[in-house]
Amino acid sequence: MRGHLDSILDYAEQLSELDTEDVEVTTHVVPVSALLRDDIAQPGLSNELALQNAPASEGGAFQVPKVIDGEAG
Amino acid sequence: MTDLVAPLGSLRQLRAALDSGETSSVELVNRALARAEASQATFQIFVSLRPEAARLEAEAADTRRARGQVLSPLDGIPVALKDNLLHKGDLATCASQILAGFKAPYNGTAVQRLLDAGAVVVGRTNMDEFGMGSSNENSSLFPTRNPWDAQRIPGGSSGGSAAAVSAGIVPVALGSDTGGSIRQPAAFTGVVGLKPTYGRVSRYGLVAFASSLDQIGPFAHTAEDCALVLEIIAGHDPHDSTSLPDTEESATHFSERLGGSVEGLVVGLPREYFVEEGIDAEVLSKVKDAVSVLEKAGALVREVSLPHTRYAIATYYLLATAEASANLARFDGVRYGHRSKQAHGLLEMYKQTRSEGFGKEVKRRIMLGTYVLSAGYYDAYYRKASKVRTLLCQDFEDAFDQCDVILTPTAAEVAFKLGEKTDSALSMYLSDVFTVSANLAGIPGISLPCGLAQGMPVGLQILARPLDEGRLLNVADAFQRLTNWHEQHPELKLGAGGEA
Repeated sequence: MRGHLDSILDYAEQLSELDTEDVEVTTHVVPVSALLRDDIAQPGLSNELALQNAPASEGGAFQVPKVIDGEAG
Repeated sequence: MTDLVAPLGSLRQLRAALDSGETSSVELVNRALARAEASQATFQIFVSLRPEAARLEAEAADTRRARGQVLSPLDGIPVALKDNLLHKGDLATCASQILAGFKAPYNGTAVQRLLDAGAVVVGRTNMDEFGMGSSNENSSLFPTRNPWDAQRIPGGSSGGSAAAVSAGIVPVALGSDTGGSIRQPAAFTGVVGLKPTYGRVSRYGLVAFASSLDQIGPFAHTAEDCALVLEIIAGHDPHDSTSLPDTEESATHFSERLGGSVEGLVVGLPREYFVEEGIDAEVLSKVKDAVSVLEKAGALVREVSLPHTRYAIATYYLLATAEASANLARFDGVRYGHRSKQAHGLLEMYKQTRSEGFGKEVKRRIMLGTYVLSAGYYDAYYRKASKVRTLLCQDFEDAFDQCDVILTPTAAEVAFKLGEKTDSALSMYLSDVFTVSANLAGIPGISLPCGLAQGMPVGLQILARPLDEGRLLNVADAFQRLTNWHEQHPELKLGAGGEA
């Protein structure tokens, strides 16, 4: 695993050849900032559907292992 | 060696057979299921089938047809979905153990639109785990085999969907393309695969790999069939803020606008892609033949340059792994998916769950992505790659000032043999060299068959400006009216290790 990661990072080093001082970053290729939908409440998943894939649930909530009891969570 | 039940054929052929009453949706769905089951032992294309539900839906489609209420060109047509697309009530595992048993609580938008059009989902296709791979060997279940040669991979990550169409099981399948995951397997299996413009198809209900790169698209035998599917699944969706607004310019009647000539079309050949070094000589010669076909039909061919091409792979793997590391943080054993039974306490549960649930390649990419986003390395890797992405976008803008479409090989070679590249993650990554740039720039790309080399299909890639799928499909359709490579299909053979 370590060798694979090293070789990939070594390969990525080639980007340092490029002078990008004055280049803007691109994080998204389409302008999306104006595409907010109307602020109207929409139905969400029912509690039953939201919990159907939970490994453990109780009382309509996801159940997780104890987080206190000696173990800092 | 056993000959399987006959392949189904193209969407156009099946529509004609349904319209003439020669066949029924029930018969088509039964044939698709029979062929899927018969090929499974050797080719392992599907991760799950839904025979009962599909037969019921096919009956409903036949009833609609009898009443003259056909919903769309896809009504009653058997289709397959990649295992990362949510289909309510059905499993959606991304071929990962961490999602074993996960049932989709809702329909993804592209899936909903197929269902509204009357399409019948027969099953879910195998993939590289979470879309991370180029060969299907990273599926946690089994590797899908190439219908043309069971010793070879079908490509990835949508290898199962490509193989399902190539093997004549379904005429249409959906996949997703983050760095070539539709186009490369389409090339390797001799079918047409379309990656639309980023934002053209809603990603709602597609399990995210790299959100700024992912896009859903169709596989089919022809550009015309892909056009029909695209116009059904495309369009704005309020559930995905990156889906593009519906405008005049994005009007989606792609299939009605096919049939044009390529007379006067300016075809750009990027000199960085047509290099002798690193491309199989036979593949290169088939792609050059394809260029000549269009040139003889009146297209003007000129050389263009995409000068930053050599940096595309590094840029892609830095950005895609960074986004993946964030997206896959949600798999923690709390709300869905696998939860380790070994662990005591919450933190240990997270760690054990992820250690047990993710495969090697997924872990590698999460680690790489976390590293390139970490405080000391963010500028050198993630930020740098985001800037080089701008240069790659600029390359395409400049090239499209000089041409209408860009033609390249889809892959540098034909489908490789299983195990050939699994020793080196880097050499697997390098096989995506011709496809990743389109995702980074968000432009549409299509791969279509343009010949055979060593008995295996060769893919021609066509790239166009953002939202120019109309032209892309027209050129692909024109090429298919001039050639018959898309009518050549593999003869499926069964036997140990795929030997004839």
